Amino acid sequence: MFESIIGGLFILAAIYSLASLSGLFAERSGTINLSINGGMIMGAVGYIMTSKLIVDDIGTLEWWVPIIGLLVGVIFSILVTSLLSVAAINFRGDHIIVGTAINILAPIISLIIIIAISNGQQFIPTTSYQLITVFTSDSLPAWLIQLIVMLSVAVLVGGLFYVMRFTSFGLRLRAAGENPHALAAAGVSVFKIRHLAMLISGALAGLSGAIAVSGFIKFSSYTSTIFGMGFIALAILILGQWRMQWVILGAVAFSAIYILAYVYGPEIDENQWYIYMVPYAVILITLPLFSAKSRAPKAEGIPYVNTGR
Amino acid sequence: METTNKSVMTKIKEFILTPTYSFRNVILSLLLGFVVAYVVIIAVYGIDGGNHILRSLFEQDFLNSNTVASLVSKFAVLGLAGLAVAFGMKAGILNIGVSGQMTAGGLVGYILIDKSDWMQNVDHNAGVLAIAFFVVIAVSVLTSLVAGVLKAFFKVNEVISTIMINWIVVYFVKLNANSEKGDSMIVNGGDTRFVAGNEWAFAIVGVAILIFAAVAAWLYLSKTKGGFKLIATGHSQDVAKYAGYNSKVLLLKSFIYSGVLAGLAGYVYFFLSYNEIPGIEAPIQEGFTGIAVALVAMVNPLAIVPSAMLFALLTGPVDGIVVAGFAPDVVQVFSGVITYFVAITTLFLYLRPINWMKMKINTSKQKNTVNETVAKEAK
Repeated sequence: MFESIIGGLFILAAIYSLASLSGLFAERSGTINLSINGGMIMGAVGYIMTSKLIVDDIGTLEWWVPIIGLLVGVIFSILVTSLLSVAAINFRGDHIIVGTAINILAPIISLIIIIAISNGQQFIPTTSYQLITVFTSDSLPAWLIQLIVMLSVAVLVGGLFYVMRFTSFGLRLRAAGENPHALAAAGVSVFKIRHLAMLISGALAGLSGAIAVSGFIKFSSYTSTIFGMGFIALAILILGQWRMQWVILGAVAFSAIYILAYVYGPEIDENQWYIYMVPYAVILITLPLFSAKSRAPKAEGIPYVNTGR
Repeated sequence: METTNKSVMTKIKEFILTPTYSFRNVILSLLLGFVVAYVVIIAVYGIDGGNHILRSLFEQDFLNSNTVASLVSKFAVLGLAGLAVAFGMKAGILNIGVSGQMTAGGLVGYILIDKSDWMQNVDHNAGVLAIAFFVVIAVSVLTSLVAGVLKAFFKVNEVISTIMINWIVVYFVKLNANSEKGDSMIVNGGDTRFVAGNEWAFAIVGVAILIFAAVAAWLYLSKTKGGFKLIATGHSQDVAKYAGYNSKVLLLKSFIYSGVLAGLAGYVYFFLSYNEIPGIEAPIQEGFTGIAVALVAMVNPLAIVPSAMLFALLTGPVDGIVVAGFAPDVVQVFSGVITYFVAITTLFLYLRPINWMKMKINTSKQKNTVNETVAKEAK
């Protein structure tokens, strides 16, 4: 019991931190990335597809299979996010509507892939392809693997913090979200910076989705949905006021609430659906407390038009 | 005065040919979306499979009275959901919560019928249906107002709050459906007293509701002062403020109207077409397809009707596909890809190949003349 709570907390914190940071990188550069959910779904399906195909081919689940799965998931997510970045940055489409369209599109692409690789089935049982099952043994319990995953994610997050805060690229990225014309006047291509930010955003969303299916107890089978985790990540981003440290804190706090509800839910009541509602309700109640004093990037969602000066 | 003298044909010609009308862009993106979706399907299932899926969408071998009636009901539901989204968009809000509002209304309606003795004693189906009508709409409006109040007074983005509400509603459905009878909640222990035998009557009532709602929404938005105020607020909250409108009240109003339309969609979906609250794992799809319907209709209430018809045809009759051994969700590729392309219609604003070629030729001519003059001067 205790171990499943601790392990679940590690993995969930990793998932939600990565997903919220995906939103953060997009929004600080001025693009509203509503399609985090879509990116996560593509990451998940990339992971599942690769591991299933390789395992079917070589017969066993080797240690390197999940790593390749994670990479493919990241690439899938970058591809689907680039649909948003091209539409929003180059063609000046409405960010929110295009993001919604991608959120509708991604589960369908994922479903088609799942059906294509599993002989007409609409789901794939994931337990045999999970990262955890590869490494877990008597000497290495599951929570230790989950801790290692979380620590590597923490290192990655630290690197991203450094990039955002202390490098010229991070400064330019933030400027693209606050005042793109000033950035253009300084001789930097706003389009390039925004596209790069969306690239990072897509990669993070895909990584988070792939980790979700590779080590999280909720996914005993993958059915082309990620239970709206991407939207929760967006809400965490708003709770964290677009500041990295608060977003990470919010992600960890939310993961704690979620995992407690998820583990203790069936214990308290047979009708555990009450308790499953809690995380969503918590977000709905806390959003108004934080939204009134918004510190959102100023140029967020406004298409940048190069005036040629 | 000249414009009034133009013949109808010239007007239609202008409407189609003038590129500034977004109608042209929507048609182009529809075509492109359809082609891309078809290519995706062919890439997965091969040419035979793709052709089969397309055929079973349009040449129905499986048509009987009931499937056509359910298609017509679906048309009504998608239209009403699209209207709810479109009305919100006119007033500057993106109501993704149509799905949750529909379901909340339907759920409370069924709980009321199931639980209260008084409702059980109402003998006439018509009476039950009439009471359910008002209950569904009231609950739907309340659900919508939660997001409205959060937006008006706390500046919470309605996209986030409505998505959270959608999921809370899903768990409410699971709570009630599971505690009752298996996976889906059926009134009177599976006694199909509403729909069975009356599919066509209910489908026609649904379409009548849709057409009435579409005309009413159009009249309200384009012919009344209230509608003008709503649209003005949608364009710019600040401008509405300077004009002396109470933008908070207007915002709440638009959430209420959008909720009423979503409630109508829920009523048609749960009471006139389904006979149950199905056990769901995620927010129902119709609410999201409503976004696509509204976009293709260019957010015009009257254009919603043909747009909903198109999407009902594209996502509706899946029997032929199921029989052929494909997953029924395949048809949603069309709606997903088309939504994406319609969302980026601005792309087609710049896609004018003939103008582009003319421009290229002109500039190259200019360059040539410039070069010639430069060469002459050099001599």
